[in-house]
Amino acid sequence: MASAGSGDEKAAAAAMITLISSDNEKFEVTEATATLSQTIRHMIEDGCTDGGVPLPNVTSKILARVIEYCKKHATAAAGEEGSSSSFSDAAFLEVDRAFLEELEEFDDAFLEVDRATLFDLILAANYLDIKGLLNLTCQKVADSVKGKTPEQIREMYNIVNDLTPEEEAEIRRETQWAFE
Amino acid sequence: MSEDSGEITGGGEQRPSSAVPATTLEDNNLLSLVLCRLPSVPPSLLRASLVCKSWHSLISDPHFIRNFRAHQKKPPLLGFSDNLGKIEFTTVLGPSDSIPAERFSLPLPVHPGSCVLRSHHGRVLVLNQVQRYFLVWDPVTGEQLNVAFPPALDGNMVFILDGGVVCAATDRDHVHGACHSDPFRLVFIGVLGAHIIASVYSSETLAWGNLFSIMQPPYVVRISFNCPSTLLGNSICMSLFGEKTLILQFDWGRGNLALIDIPSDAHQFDALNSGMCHFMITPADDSGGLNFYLLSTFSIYVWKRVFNRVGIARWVRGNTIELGNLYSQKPTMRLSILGLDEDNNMILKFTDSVVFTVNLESMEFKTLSTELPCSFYFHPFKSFYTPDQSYTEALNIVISTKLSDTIFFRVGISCQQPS
Repeated sequence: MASAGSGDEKAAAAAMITLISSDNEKFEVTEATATLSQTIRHMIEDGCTDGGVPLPNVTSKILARVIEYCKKHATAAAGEEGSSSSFSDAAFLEVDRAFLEELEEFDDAFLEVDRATLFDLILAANYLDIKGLLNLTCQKVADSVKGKTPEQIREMYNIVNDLTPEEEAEIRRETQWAFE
Repeated sequence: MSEDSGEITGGGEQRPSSAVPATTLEDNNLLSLVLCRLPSVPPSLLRASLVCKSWHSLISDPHFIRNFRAHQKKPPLLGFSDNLGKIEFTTVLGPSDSIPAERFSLPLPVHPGSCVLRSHHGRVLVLNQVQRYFLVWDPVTGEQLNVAFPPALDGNMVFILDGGVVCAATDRDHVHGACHSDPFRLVFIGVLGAHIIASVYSSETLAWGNLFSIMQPPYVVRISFNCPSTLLGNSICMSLFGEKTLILQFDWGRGNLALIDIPSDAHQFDALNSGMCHFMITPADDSGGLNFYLLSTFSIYVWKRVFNRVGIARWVRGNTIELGNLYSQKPTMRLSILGLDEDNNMILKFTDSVVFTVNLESMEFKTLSTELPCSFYFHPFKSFYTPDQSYTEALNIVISTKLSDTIFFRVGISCQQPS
């Protein structure tokens, strides 16, 4: 599926990097897209990307989603840079606002995934050191915990309660008002 | 643009990866990233700490608490200290997050006549005019410090107009709202005979600094407790009413006590003398500049104080903020200003007691869930309240009655660090 495409003229002019997933699928991406990952950025700076960048911790399914995210956000960043000189202030702000709205919509749609995928995306964002994606996915999990009781949180994430009844009673006693 | 990712969306149907959900939340670093993003209102972390042992020990870890505060940047508005005869706390958090009033209500019997002067950076400044002392109180830890009026005022009739208690932490990554053990400055402005006076107390030296003094204006001056003062960095601004309305600024950073005229075209507004608070001084920027906001029906008129090249200041009229569009459903209501919190949120109240905040930078409106009683003396209280603090127990209350010196009225604190 998401292997190297022929690319348009612009893409051909840009430096391309090959990313290799744990299941050995190859993804060709522009350097601008790849360097949203600090991990890959350092590899490029160190000149260790010839022959592709193996990412043994990331499956092709997750890598494809990560690239989708990076591509969109790299495009938005490039668009913002390009627009700064060619618009009046008002037009620039309008374009800026439109970009942000579009990105927000993209992010919302991007997060419409099952819980297993969301956790895989967190692991990948952490491993690849992509700040924006890590923030986005962690916030999504935090939002799901928000306002829930400890019982609901455990059930939602299959967490075993290993606090002894005494420990639990002690914590509840000390912070009782929070549970009333 | 490149076609680097191809038809990615088709990948969603593949077999899930080998990582199971639990592994992500079993990693303390990743769990910490998630839990740092919980809402800053107190119960969210406390509830999460009951999920299991590892969540509890992470949330109780001071390192995590530091990260949590750093990530949140600003403490939540928990409620208001109010002053209806006794010093009580009124929560503004929603029903599921609210904090019981007695949690942050002054536990010790204070002398009759004590009132809350101001609340800043998670501390509350209480004044007892008759007994001539201030009480600096940290409602979260329960710690109290009693500070007598400066010895230089002994034997003189002094009337305190306003004051503040300001965090003096200087470390770069300090986040206000968790300033419990950090040094602070207590400042006051008062009237002594024909003079307006001001001074600063340092919690580090446990002593008052110099007494600053200027002559009162040559006409009747009164203050309105309805009009809250404003903290701007190392200075405090309050309003003086009379034949002419003036701003009094005490800048203890620069050692300056001065009177400032309000914008001359503000005098045409009746709102200025209505008896309710309809104007507010706010910080214009980080450089210590001033803005003047005047609320007249559903409009807020804004002036900014600017300096020319030789340092002469004048007020320049800025934008007008229209509130009418947003609150057209309450055309018969009147608005008054309750105060300004440390994050530039103006707190406004309708005559039906519905309270809401307007962020003066983003213009974001937020209605607070609590309808406050019809008292005028509310002081916004913002603080982090994290599980490490909820383990605090007040023991061995020791009260000294000696007021001639500065004495710690300190509640014995035992902080059990959860294992």
